[in-house]
Amino acid sequence: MILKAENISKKFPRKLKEANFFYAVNPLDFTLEQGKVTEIIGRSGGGKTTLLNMLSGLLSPSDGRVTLDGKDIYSFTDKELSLLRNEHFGVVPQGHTGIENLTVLENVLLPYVLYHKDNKAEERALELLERVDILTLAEAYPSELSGGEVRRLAIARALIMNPEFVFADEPTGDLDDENTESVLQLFRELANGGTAVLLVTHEAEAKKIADITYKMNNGNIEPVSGC
Amino acid sequence: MDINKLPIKNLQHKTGRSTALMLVVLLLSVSMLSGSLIVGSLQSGLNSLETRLGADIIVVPDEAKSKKDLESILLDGVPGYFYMDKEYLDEIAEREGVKKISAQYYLASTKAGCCTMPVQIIGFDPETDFTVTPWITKSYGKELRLYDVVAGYNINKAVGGQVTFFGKDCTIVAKLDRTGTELDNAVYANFDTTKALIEASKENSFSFFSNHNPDEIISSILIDVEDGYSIDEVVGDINIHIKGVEATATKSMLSGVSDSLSGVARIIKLLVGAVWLLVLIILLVVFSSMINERKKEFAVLRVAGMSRAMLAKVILMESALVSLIGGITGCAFSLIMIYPFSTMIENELGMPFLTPSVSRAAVLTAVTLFLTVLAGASASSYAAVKLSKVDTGLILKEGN
Repeated sequence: MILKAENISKKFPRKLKEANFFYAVNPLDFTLEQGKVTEIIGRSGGGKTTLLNMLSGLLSPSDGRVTLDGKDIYSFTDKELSLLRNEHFGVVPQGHTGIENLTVLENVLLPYVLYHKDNKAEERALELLERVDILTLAEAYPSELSGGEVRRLAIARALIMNPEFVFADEPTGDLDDENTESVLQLFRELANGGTAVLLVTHEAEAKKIADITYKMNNGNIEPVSGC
Repeated sequence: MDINKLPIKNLQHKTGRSTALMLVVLLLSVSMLSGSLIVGSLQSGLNSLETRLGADIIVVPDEAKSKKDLESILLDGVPGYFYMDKEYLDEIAEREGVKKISAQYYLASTKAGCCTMPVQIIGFDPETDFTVTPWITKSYGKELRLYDVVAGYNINKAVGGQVTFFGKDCTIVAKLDRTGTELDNAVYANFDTTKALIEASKENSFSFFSNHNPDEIISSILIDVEDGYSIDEVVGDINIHIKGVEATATKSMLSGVSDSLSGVARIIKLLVGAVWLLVLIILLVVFSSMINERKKEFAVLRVAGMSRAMLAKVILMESALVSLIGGITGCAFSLIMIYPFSTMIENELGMPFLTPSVSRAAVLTAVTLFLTVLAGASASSYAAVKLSKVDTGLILKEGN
C-alpha cells in the first residue's frame, strides 16, 4: 500500500488586517513508505501535526489530495474513511487521549470492538500492554495513570489492529528515557515488519531509528541532509 | 467488551453528571405529567358532578341564599337543609317542557352523640327519581328498604356496616363510585328512611323542619327538560310563573366552578409550557456544554475508526437512557404525588377532582415518557450534529 500526499495544503481563517487566512501547511508532496520510519521534526506551530492529521484521514486538506493506492481518501464516504482508519491506520494523537470511562484494556480493545463482536483481540491487547510495560494496569482507569502511562496506552491502542500505517504525534512526550527508548524500539520493529511509521517529534533519540527525517517550518517541508 | 454498552459505561462512570442530567429531565416529566393529571382530574371532576346531578334544572325554595345553600351542599361539602311545600311538585310538573320531575330531601346529620358522623343525607323518591337511582342500581341493584342507605365513596364505612343517624341504626347496603366531588361525602336514602330520620331528629330535639309534617314538605325539585325545549326558557317560565321558588339550570350553577376550573387549568398549562421551554433550553445548554467538554473523547473515538453515525448513536443512546430513567422517575413521582393525595388536592383546590382511570393515566404516562425522551434526544442531537461538522484533527489540535 502506498500513501501519497499530492500538492496538499491547509489554510485556516485568521482575522488580521493583511490576510483573512494563513497557511499552516503550504502546498507539498509527500510519500509515506512502508517498512520505513519517517520522522518529521521542527519548531512548534510549523505544521507537523496538521500534516500528520491530513495524512491520517483526520483533517481534510484545503487543496490537493491524499491517495492510498491511487484513491483519494477524502473522496470516501465518512463510513468508508472511518473503516479505513480503523483497519489500516494506527494514530497516536498528541496529549492525553485515554477514554476516561473505559479501563486501560478496554481502551486498547476499542478499535477492534467497533467492528467486531468477538474477544479474539484480547490476547493481542494484553501482549501490547506488556510490550509497553503497563500490563499490570490493565484494569485501571486512565485517571489513575501517569501522563507517560497514558501515552503508552495510546500507543498500544494504535497498534491493536496491526495497521499498515502508524502515525504518532509526539509519542514519547511524557516518557522517561527508558520508556522512550523502548517505545522507539517498538516503532523500529514495526517498520522492520513492513509497517510505514510516521513520527512527529522533538525527541532527539528518534533520529537513531528514523530512516528518513524531514524538517517542517512555517508550513514548508524539506528533507534533512545527512540522514 | 461490547461497544453497544459504551453509553451505559459512560453514564455509570460519571454518576454525578448522569444524575444531574436525570434531574433536569425529571423536572420535565414531573411538570408535564402532574400538570396533565391535575387538569384532567379537574375536568373529569366537573363532568362527573354534572353527570351525578343528572338533572337539567334544580328548583329550591326562594329563600335568602337558598341557592347558595345548595351550592354549599354540592360543591363545598357543608351539610345543610331547607324545605318548601310539596304542592310545588304538582304545580311545576304541569309547566310546559317539563319531562321528568322528582323531589329530594336534604337532611344534615350532626356531630352529636345520636349520629355516627355529620354528613349530608339526601333522600329521594324511588318512584320518580331519575338522578340517583341509576347510580344506585349500578352499585346495588336492589330496592332500598327502610333504614337502608347508600354511602358516597368517601364515607368511611364498609358495605354491611351500620351508621346511626338521630338514634336510628341504618345499614350501608352499597357504596357509590368516586365522583371527586362533595357528593362523595353524602349518604343516600329513600323517602321512607328520610322521613323516619326527620321524625327521629324531632324526637332528638333537632328542629330542622320545625313542626312541619315530612309528608308535606320537600327540599328540592329536579327536572329533566323535554327534548326540543330550551332549558333556560323552562327556568324562566318557572321563575316568572311560580312564586316562592327559584329554578336554576344545573350548568349555570356549575358555571362558577367551571370558570374557576378553566382559570386554574389555563394557569397550569401556562406553567407547564413555561417549565418545558425553560427545561428545553437548559437541556440544550447542558447537552451542548457536556458534548463540548467531551469533544476530545469523541475525537479519540473517531481516531479509532468510529463513523459519525456510530458516534451519533452513542450520544443519542446516552441521552435517551438518561431521559428515559429521568422520565420514568419523574412519572413515578407524579403518580405517587397525585393519586394517593387526590382528596387532599381536591380539598385544597376546593373543586371537583376526579383522577383519570388507570388506562388513561397509562396513556398520559406513555406520552410524557415519549416526549421526554424525544426532548432529551433532540437536545443532544443538535449538539452532536454541530460536533460532527468539525474535523477530528481540529478537535485534537484544540485539545492540546
